[in-house]
Amino acid sequence: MQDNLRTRMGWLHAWIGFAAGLLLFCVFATGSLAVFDTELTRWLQPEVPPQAAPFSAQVLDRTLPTVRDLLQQGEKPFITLPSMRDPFMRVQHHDGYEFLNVPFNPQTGEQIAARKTAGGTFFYDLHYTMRTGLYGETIIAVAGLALLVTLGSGIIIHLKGLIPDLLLLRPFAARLRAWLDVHVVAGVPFLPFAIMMAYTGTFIRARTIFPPVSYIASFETLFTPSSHSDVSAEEEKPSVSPLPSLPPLLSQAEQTLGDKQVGQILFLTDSMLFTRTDMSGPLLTREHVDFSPVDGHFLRHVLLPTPVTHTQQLMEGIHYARWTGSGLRWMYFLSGVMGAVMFASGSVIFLMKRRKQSGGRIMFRLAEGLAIGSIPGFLLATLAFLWANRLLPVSLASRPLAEVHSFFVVWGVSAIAGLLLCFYGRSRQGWKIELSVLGALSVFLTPLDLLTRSGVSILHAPTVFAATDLCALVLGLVSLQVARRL
Amino acid sequence: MSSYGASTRKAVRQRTPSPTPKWIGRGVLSLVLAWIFAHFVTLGSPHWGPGTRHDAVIFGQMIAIGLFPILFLIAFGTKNPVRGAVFVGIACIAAASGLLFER
Repeated sequence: MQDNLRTRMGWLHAWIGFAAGLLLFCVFATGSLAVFDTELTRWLQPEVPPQAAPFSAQVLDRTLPTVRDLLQQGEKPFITLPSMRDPFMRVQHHDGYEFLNVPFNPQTGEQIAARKTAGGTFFYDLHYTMRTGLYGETIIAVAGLALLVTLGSGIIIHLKGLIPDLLLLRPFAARLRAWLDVHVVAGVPFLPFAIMMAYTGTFIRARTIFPPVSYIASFETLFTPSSHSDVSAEEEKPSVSPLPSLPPLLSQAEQTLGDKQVGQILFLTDSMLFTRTDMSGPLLTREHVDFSPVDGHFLRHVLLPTPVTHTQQLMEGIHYARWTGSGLRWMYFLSGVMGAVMFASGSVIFLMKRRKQSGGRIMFRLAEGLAIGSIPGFLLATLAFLWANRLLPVSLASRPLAEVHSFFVVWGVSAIAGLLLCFYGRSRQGWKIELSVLGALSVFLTPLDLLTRSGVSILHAPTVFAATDLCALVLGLVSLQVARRL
Repeated sequence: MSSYGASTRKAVRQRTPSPTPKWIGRGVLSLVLAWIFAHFVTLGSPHWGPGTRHDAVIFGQMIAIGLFPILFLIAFGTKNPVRGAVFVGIACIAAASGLLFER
């Protein structure tokens, strides 16, 4: 191998890209789904109808018993007010992983009997922690840096042919050539998106990898006993006084934040935060007006107005895309999906190029097994999550956890199956089987939705249900076609 | 892209020893240097960054994450590895000197 800039960058691009790419495939896939987390939650609660009556602020107080119950359990509940994306009022709390919610009718304030679900925020949590908390955040932030390096080296490799390659897709050419075309066509047009998401995403979690204190000090704090460790959980549970009426406070908060600019009401033990909606603009300001939970008197108005915080808020705003309309959100989704395709095709190319020379080696088989587990296996688990949501009994205790377990069991089984088939030299069957099962689960999601949702009508306005089913159908057809051509 | 396959064939024909072990070492060195730079920028940012400590740290992290891949690629990509390492090493020293500022 010649030692010049292009070969050096090619080596770096291949190895860092493959090592981080399997994880980044999952990050991009979950990120694409998390763009529609609110809509997915609606698909996952089919008892909640697609449309709702207009919001009446006077019914806010009917959510207070649920809020009080959660406060007494030591949670930090918040009310999400109806919006363009979700016309229902919801009382939510974070269970350490997802935001669990109870929907309410926005006009009458009645609680809607809907199944408990981990919801669309399951994918949001997977996106930035892989459900492993701070460790996951750190690993994904490092993967974000690896992505920036991979993109930089990829640009250097393709610099000469960047524009001609953009127009070149030969799906019926030799396999390696066809996959290279897919990799370039999926990567190059969406390069600005990938760079923007890699930079802003890594920056948002920068505290995990680049803390403003030395690593030695950070390491020492890990072993410093917490001052709260001897306080029992029973003592920590707060006594909750009756909460003040919310409509007058909402009106007062809107005088500061603007008409219909309050998105959430967060309940803490010492204050109630009326927070600006994330949909108000590209700056994710989280500006809030605080009131006392005892008598409802005004406490403070919090807004960070400096140029640096504005820049930070802008980066968060463009990464989370909560301010966008549905058109731009679909663009984010498409770009994220193409990013996932870029990683998947890059991993396939990496393996194809080395199969002839190293196909018999155990490390190669391990790498291919991991690729099967990470690419079709991960998508299979995602479909299993949707199927589990509809098939698990509605009355099941810890239902959200059961959905999550379904996801991880299917992911684990497909990863182990992929690894075993690769170790026995049957990697092609591994790809084919998993892609075929994925195709079947995706194609049959629409019938499942129609059978397990009440009030279904074939001829109705486009809804979150139709969009989810259609996306699954497309994924299914693509998977079956790839499985057929392998 | 058209030269991708050609370069692979050329590599097979020439049968030159693979530079992979050398490049692994260079990759590790580049990673360490770029990481040291990014760490010192973030660590020093409260000393020289704008506004409050919070703002300064945010500013430092923005710079650290933006420059990390660039310095990594410079350290790894230069033809003479010593030259790349020296360049990024100087950047590390400059970042570390930010700790000496007092506001």
